[in-house]
Amino acid sequence: MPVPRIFGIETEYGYTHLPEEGRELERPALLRSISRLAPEIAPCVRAADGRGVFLANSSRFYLDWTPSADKPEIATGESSNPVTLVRRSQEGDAYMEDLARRVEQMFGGTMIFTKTNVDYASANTWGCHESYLIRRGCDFQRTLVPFLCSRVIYAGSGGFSNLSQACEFTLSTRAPHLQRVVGPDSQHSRPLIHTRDESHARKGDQRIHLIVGEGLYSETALLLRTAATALVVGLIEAGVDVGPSVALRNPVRALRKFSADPLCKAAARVENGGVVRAIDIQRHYLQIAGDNLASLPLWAEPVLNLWKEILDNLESGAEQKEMLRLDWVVRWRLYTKFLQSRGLDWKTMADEASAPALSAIRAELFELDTKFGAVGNQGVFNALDEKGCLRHRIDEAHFPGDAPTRADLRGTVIQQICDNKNRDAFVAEWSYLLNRGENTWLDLTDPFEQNAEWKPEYQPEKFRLRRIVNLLE
Amino acid sequence: MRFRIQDDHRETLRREDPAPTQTTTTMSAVGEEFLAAADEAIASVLSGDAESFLRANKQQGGQ
Repeated sequence: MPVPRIFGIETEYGYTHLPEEGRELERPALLRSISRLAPEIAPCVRAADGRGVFLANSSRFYLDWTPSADKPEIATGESSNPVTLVRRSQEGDAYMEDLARRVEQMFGGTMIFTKTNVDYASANTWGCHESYLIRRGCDFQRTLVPFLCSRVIYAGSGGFSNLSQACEFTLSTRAPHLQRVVGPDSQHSRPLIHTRDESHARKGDQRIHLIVGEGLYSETALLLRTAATALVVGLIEAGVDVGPSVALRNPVRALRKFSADPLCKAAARVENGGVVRAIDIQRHYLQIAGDNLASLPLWAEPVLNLWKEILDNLESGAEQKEMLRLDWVVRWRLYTKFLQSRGLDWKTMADEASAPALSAIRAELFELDTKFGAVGNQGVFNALDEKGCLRHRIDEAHFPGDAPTRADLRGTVIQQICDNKNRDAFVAEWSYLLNRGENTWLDLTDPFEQNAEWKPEYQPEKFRLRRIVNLLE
Repeated sequence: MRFRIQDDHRETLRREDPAPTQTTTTMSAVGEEFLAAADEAIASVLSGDAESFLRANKQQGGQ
């Protein structure tokens, strides 16, 4: 019997306000304004912990604001179908675009929110984190890691390393920043898999939290990244063994090597002494998923077909017209065109980028890359898509099977609350909605909850204690 | 219908490939509309002072 999968993403947005003359805003003041405007532009209720708002579209907006980090962020509602996740991600981008226009109305100038995950004036990075629900107690690291390192050939955003003095294209701008496979630090010694363990769900549930990925615009890339990862998580939960042939000797080094090669021919050493390309690793997982289709969700079969098609395309070379469906390929082709029109090539930029004559070209590429990821019509991806020359769209009718989740219920209830102009009486968390006026609450601990039954006497201490007991167990 | 992937990928597990170099791939296979749109997109977003833009876009970090 197939078990529905649950997943979501958190997208951090870089932000810049380009002022009209004399109206420069300090970043903290700008962020405070963004925080004030956020509840005004869409139906929502405030988060119970005071961090942001839960939106009627089922997502959450908040500021990731610490002394060393300052990013607006959208966490999508929990989804059980990868197409739903893609649509929720797009709704988040649209929300950020509306927010940008409101900032411009208030302060003038140009407000840019970008999903490009590095800036090129510092060594900073920020991410698009993924969460996948899994039964607690499953040993997922060994099976998941080779898959995560190799999926970059379709899941990478593309761009440039901001840790390098050269100007070399990378499939993943996060790859140079990742230093370990698993760990608790998300701001310095970043891992692929973060050890945060807040399931926000039932006893017996665990949330795998991945911080290896980037923000994506391609529907194909985002769907395939999410769906293939969710299928591998499903295989892990079902106890399927992927065998030793893809066990990478040095996963972080392998990820960097795969990321540095747009030709997808780079090979990395595996523990049994051989070497393997990212495409080979992905085909290995694809084969195993195909062999276990009966235990996977209804949407798995069309995902496997798409997965195979993309790997076949990559084997043929990213210069093929069919490949204008992945973020990194669109970026790579755009920047290749940029260089060609100036009589340059990638090798020259890699070898001589710091030469005075080429440093201006390098800066222009970095500006282009930052704006490639901008939301709305300021973004280069969106501009190219508007002209109909990309091939990234997916047909949701091809991916059946969408079990309603608590995100659907939460969104519906928040919309009703806002329709009744009563939102100040309510606060939300991932696992509950609370009516503070009547001291009643809606239990959303079950990720598939569909019953809008308000319970009396909400006791937050008791609720927190239950979560701690669940964690200890 | 049972899904079956027809490939012999295990045979493709190979000896170490030579380190790839990034070369300018021929663009002949690229759609004409993409090339035209690319020129337009590039021209429309570059500010003319990329260094200033990059300084203004300096972020304070994230996760």
